[in-house]
Amino acid sequence: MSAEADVLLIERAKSGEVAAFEMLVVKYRRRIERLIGRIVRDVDLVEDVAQETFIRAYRALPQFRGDSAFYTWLYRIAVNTAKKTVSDLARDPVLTESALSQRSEDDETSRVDQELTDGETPEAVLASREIARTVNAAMEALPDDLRQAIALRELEGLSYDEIAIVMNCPIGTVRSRIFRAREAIAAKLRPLLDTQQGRRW
Amino acid sequence: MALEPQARPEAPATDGLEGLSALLDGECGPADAAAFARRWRQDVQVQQHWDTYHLIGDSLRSEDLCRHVGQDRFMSTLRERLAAEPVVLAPAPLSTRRALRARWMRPVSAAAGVVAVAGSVWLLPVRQGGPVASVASSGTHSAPIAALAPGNGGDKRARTGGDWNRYLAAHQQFPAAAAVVPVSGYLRPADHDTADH
Repeated sequence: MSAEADVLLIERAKSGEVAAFEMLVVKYRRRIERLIGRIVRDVDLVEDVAQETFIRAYRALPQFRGDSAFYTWLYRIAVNTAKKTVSDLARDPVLTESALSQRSEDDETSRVDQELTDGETPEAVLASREIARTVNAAMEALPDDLRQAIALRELEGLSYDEIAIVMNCPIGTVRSRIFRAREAIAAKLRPLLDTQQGRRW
Repeated sequence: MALEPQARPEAPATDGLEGLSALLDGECGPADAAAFARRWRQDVQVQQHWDTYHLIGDSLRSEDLCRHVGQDRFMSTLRERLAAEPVVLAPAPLSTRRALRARWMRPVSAAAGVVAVAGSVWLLPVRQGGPVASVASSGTHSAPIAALAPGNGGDKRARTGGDWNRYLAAHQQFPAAAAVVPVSGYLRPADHDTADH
């Protein structure tokens, strides 16, 4: 997670470049949906609430002063949007497909998806585990210098300057190692993602 | 979504994407950010790599985030909704506005200070020539008042007003009392000329 990267993209979005805002959406969508899922607890609504969150964030972007990190600001919007959805549902209940399926007649048997906290399907859970396994295996298969560089960046949150000092190499080398590590992991991940989703974009 | 025609077909598939990786880490300049934002809509390769790089980072940090989300339907819906929104146009980037304000405020504050000091210095001699200031600055309180007496080289404005001069001459015996007004119980009027009288 990098606040500096956000600043660059926020400035572009504020100058009317919607594409820069879309890049931020892709970056934060997973985290925003996980957050919303913990509040709404209905998998069918999570995506809609996420959409609404990003639209609200886009409208409010000119008021974002940068006093807090962008993701903190975005999280606040997501929490407010999710809470509003929950209170609206309490006043005017709507039965979604997933809610109905959870109340089906064979409720007496324990279904796996009812035991999941955020209503994810067993297939989605399996797919997530597969992604985790693939990423970890790809990390293990990396040469030491690439693995160390990307671990220092992604897990320790060090800047390129700091990684260069730790690894005793030029910043250009750090940049190249992190890129090559990402590409090596992405190459292992890509067939899996294409299988899971078909065409991704 | 159509791929943007590659400028150099012989270039490797990852050509230019090292900058995208650096952008993800906030380790590139505004020009690179602008370039990738411009490529974003047309270049599906940029979109896929951006998404995958973030998925890798999220997966390494948290098991909860090892989740592949299909971007196509979500993004196409979002794009339609964003297109219906008014274009976001902030008056100026925050950093630029702050920098400009800071750039102007410092010299303006300094100039205001200089003007205030210069004004005080300019006004001081004028006031010293007046009766009240001379009372405060002189060693003996009675002397300037005496100077106001006719034919004693006092202030011209004072000398031209005959009534004013007569009034001051009549009150010469109370110079200190007139100059120092006690404001609290700790202050007492003191006439240094008492011994002389």
